[in-house]
Amino acid sequence: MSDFEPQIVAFCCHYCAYAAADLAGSLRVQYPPNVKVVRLPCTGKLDTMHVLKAFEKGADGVMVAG
Amino acid sequence: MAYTKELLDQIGLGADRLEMHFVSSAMGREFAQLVTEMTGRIEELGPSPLREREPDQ
Amino acid sequence: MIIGEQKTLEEIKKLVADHDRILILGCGTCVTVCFAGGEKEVGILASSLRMATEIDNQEKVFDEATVQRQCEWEFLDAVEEEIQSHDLVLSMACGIGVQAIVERFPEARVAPAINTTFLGLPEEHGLWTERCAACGECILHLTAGICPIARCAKSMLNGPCGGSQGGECEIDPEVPCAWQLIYDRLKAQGRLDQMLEVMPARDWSTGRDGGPRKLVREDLRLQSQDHE
Ligand code: SF4
Ligand code: SF4
Repeated sequence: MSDFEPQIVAFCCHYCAYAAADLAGSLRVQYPPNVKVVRLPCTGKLDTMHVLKAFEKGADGVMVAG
Repeated sequence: MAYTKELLDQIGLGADRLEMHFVSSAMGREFAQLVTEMTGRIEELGPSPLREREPDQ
Repeated sequence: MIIGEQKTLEEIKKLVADHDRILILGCGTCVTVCFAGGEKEVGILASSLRMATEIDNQEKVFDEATVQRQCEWEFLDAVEEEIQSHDLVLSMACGIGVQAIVERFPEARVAPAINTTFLGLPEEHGLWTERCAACGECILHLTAGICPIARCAKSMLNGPCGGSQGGECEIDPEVPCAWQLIYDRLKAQGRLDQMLEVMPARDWSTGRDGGPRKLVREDLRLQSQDHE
């Protein structure tokens, strides 16, 4: 359990959360490296299918930010 | 979103593994914060029941 | 169109329990439009089942396919190979599509992933309501375009009944009284005298009461299909 590193997929809207992730990077704010950011034109485009696929491919958690 | 969470429960993954947040482009710090929180929550939940069977992942 | 609703994942898991290679077959017509069994729903169900059965430690294969219409031979023929190479076809079409599969490929094992609910229309996003009971003898011209067979709980021909109250049907306050709707529409059209016309008892044998129905159009039949 101790070496468990959660794989998290973050679906981000290109104009909001993706920009925020970018900003976090340039502000040198630390955030866990185990997050894979997937950029969408808009989170409105996000479908149940995308979330399921992320889990099917082995994600431990999914975040939607927009 | 509610439908997807319900589906995750039915599948056996658990609705807690999915989170939705509103983040604007100026919220860099908040974004980092949310990601850290999410990581903590998932650490508590443990690995996905699907992953236990795929040690190579 | 035909409206359908997906069975619960729990029920579907039971349907596939004794099978290993499962083809989830969607239909691109009615059930696609009502979000019950089109290509997208096939994908979501397949992914859900893959994960759910894996969590339960079962090894199963779920393949996906969607045809334009499961209720027509030529579309089914296009997926013959897929149907034959799986030990269960989990159909997301209406009951007609499910039956068409076994009729075309008698060896195939089929299971319905959706419940075929009624003939209706989407009143608004996410809301479908029944409109026609396929009674075989349409009387909509006499009822201002509102069907009392499908929409009146008692299928009354000379309504409303005594249970009609403030526009609601006595079976459920959520259900509008079909005869109130008919009255209102006739009134708005200045045709209230139509309400006084007594509709004689009808011959229900054109509907389900007459047994399974069949429609033959000699003008459309091919020579080779004439059996007798
Ligand atoms: S009268 Fe019969 S055919 Fe016409 S809409 Fe009603 S049920 Fe359908
Ligand atoms: S209240 Fe109206 S819809 Fe309900 S059974 Fe009576 S006539 Fe039919």
